Amino acid sequence: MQPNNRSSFIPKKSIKRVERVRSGKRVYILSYVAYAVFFGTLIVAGAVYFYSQLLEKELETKIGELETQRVAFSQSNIQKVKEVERQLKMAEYFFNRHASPYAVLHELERIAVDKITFTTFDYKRVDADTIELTISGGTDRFDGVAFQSGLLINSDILKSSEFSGVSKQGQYSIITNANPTKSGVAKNNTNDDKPSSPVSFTINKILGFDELTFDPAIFTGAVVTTNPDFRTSSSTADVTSFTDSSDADEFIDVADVSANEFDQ
Amino acid sequence: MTQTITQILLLIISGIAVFTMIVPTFKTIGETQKETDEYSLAIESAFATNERLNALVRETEKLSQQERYRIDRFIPATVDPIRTAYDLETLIEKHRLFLVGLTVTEESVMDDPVVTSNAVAEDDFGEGTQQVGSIGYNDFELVVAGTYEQFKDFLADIEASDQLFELQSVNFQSTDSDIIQFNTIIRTFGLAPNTKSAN
Repeated sequence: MQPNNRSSFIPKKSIKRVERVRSGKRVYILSYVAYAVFFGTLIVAGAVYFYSQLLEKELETKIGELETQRVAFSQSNIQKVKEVERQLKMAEYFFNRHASPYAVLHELERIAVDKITFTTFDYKRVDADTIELTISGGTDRFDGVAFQSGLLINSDILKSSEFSGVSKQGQYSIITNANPTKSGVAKNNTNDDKPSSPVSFTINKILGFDELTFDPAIFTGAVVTTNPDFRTSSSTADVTSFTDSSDADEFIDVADVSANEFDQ
Repeated sequence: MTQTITQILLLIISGIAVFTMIVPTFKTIGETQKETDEYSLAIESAFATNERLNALVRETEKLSQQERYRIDRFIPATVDPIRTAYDLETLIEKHRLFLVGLTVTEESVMDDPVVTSNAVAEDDFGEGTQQVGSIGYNDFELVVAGTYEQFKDFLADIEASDQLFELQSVNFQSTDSDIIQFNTIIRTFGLAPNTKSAN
């Protein structure tokens, strides 16, 4: 006996199956994307987290290194260097501005005309950079003054000096009398033994400190140290050796030893 | 249906993770990176500074004791007016000049003429405010009598002295005799004002 309602082994709704397969594929792609995004996010989050941790550690290491450098920065050394620097710079500053009145006298002797008599000498340091010089003198004739003026032009220190108050006291005077025979010109009484300087003049000069620099070469045999406790045979050259700019320059830029970074 | 909900949830969770964790962490990383770079620069600079300082210290230590003594003599820490007056008196005697008068004026203070790095460096180290340093000086009003040659030799010694003597004024006038009266004002400087007189 054959069963009547036996179903066929041939699938009757094959088309439906195909539809099911299509529907399943769509769901798979979306799912794939969703999972990919999710796991991608997880991986990126993890990587970012670990990288930030790594950077934090690096930052801590840098802070530690900076602290080490800060500790190594010895305050006493800074102070020591600063003091020496200041002293050297100060020595250099004053030495470079060390004006020499001796040099004026020396120069004056060199260029003085025989017939000229210098009577007063006034040297005044007006400020750190300026020196005022006033020298008065006299001679018997104007040609002496003219000659002296000409020599000053060749002087390094006294060139372009200003002559002022040039005057001559005459040897004669006019006598006026009611009686015309007693009026006239008479020679003044002068002491022949003592030469007079009827022509007087004043030399004025404003000098910069750099025009009157201290020249150790002029000072031969000068005793440098006066205190008996410290008498030495030191020479002026020793003084200059300390104010040599090369020494001072080594210390000049300590200001640049800046540690702004420590404050960051 | 469940699958779809799961996918949507995953996407939402991913979005939340991106905006609440990844993006802020990225910002933090940027800031940390910047800070790290700044620190690296600071370390580099600090290292160079330390090296420089050490070099300067070595340079300072190169100065011999005698050299240090001479510098200290040229510009002492403070002016000692009594000792300076004694030095001047010794020089006057040495040149056989007659001391007419010697007056030591009160110590005065002036601004540091040299723009030192002191204050700036202090400020850089964050250890103090910027201050202008000051130095002390004394004027010695000296009147001596003698011949022109004697005075000139005296002047030479003054100018070439180990201690800095700055002549502020010199004036004299010739007389009928060889003996002339010389009026001078001599100034000496100290690195710092004398605390005794400052107080």
